[in-house]
Amino acid sequence: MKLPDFDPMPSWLEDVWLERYLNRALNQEESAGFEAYMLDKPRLLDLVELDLALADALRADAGKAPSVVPQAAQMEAITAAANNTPSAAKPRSKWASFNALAASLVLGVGAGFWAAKQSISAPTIASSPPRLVFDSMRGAITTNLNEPGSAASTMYIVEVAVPPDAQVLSAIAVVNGRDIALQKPVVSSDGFVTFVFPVQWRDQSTLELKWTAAGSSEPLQLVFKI
Amino acid sequence: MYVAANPDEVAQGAGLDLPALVQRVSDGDAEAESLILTQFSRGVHCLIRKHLDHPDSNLEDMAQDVLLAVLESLRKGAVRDARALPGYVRTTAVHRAQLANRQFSQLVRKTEPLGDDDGRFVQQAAPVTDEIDSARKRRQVRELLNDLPMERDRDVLTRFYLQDQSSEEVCAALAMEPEHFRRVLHRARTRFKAILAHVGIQSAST
Repeated sequence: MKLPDFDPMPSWLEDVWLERYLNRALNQEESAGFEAYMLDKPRLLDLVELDLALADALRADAGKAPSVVPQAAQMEAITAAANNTPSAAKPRSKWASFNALAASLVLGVGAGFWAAKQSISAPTIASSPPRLVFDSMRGAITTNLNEPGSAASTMYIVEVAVPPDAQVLSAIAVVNGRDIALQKPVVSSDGFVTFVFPVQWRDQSTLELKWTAAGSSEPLQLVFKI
Repeated sequence: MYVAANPDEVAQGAGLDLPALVQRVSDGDAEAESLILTQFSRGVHCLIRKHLDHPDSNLEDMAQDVLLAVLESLRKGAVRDARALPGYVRTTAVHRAQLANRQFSQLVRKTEPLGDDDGRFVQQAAPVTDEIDSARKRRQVRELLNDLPMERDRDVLTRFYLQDQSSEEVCAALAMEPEHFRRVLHRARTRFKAILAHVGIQSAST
C-alpha cells in the first residue's frame, strides 16, 4: 500500500497508518514513507513516543532487580564466571541480552538509600561495602583510595573520577582473562562513574574505561586494577 | 501540499513552505536553518530511539549529528527537491541509529556478555533520579497489566514488546485472531496514556 500523496492526510487515515506502523504491519517501504511523513507531525510523534515509553516501561519491569544480597544459585553463577566455567546457553531476545549485559539495579551511596533498599529487598545487605576510588583527572591514575568496608559485604564499589563533561565510550571488566562488557556508565554531576562488582572479582580483575572529554578528539583509555 | 508559513505557524506545528526554506538555507539564511531544526528535531529524536536496538545515553548527540548533517547538505544545495527533505532526514536518522547499533554489536562481540545472574551484580550507580524513573515505570506497567483482563493479553505485550515477535507470530502462538491482537494493543496504549496523564505526564504537543 502506498502512502497517499497528500500531506497532511486526514486524521482518520493517519490513525490507520499509525496503527499499522506501531503494530509492525507495514513493509519496509511503507514504514520508511510513514516515518518520513510523521517527522514533523506532533500528534503522531506523541503516539509513537507513547508506544516507545510503554516498551521502555515493560522492559524496566521485566529487568527489575532481584534482592541485592545474592542467593546461593546466584553466588554459584558468579563463581562460575570467575572460574571461567561455561554457563548454560539460553535462547534470548536482543532485549534479554541487553538486560543481561547492562544490569538495571541502581545503588546509591549513602546510608539513607541503602536503608531504603534494605526495606524493599533482602534483609541482609552489608551496610558499608568496600570502596575503591581512582582519580584519573590528569590522564593517569594519580590516587587510589581504598576503603575496606564491611568484611561481610558481597560486593564492592569502584568509583573513577573523570572530567564532568566526559563521554564514556566503553567500560570493560576483565575477569580471569575474560572480557565482560559493561553498560556505558552515566557520569555523575560531581564527575564520577561508579560500578558495583561481586567480591569474587576483587584483586583478580581490571576495569578498562575509555572516554573522550569535551574539546578532545582523542579517546583516553585507562586500566584500573580492581 | 505545503502552505506558506511564518515562524508562529511553525511553532504551532503547521505546514512549512519547504521549497522556500530549503532555498533560504542554501542562500545562507540562519533563520531558515533554525526553522528547519525546529521542524524536525523532535521527529529525529523519536526515529533514532525507535531504531536503536538498545537504550543509548548518547541519543542527544546522535540527533545533533543527524541535524547537522542535514543542514550541511542543505547549505551545499545537495537537496534539490524539497519534497524529498523529510525522506532524507528520515534516512539520515535511521542510518545514525544503525551505526550506533553496529558499534554496540562490535563491542559485545569483542567481549563476553554477563550471564543473567552476573549481570545483576555488576552494576553502576546512576543518579537517584534514574532509580526513581525506573521505579515509576514499573509502577505504571503494574497498573497497566492489572487492568488487562486476561493473562493472554499480558502475554501479547510480553511477546510483542519484549520478545519482538511480529503480529503473526503472536497470533499463531496464542491462537488469537488478528483483530483481537489489535484490540489488545490498542487497549494497552490507550490505558497507558491515561496512566501517564493521571500522573501528570502530558504529551509534548498538548
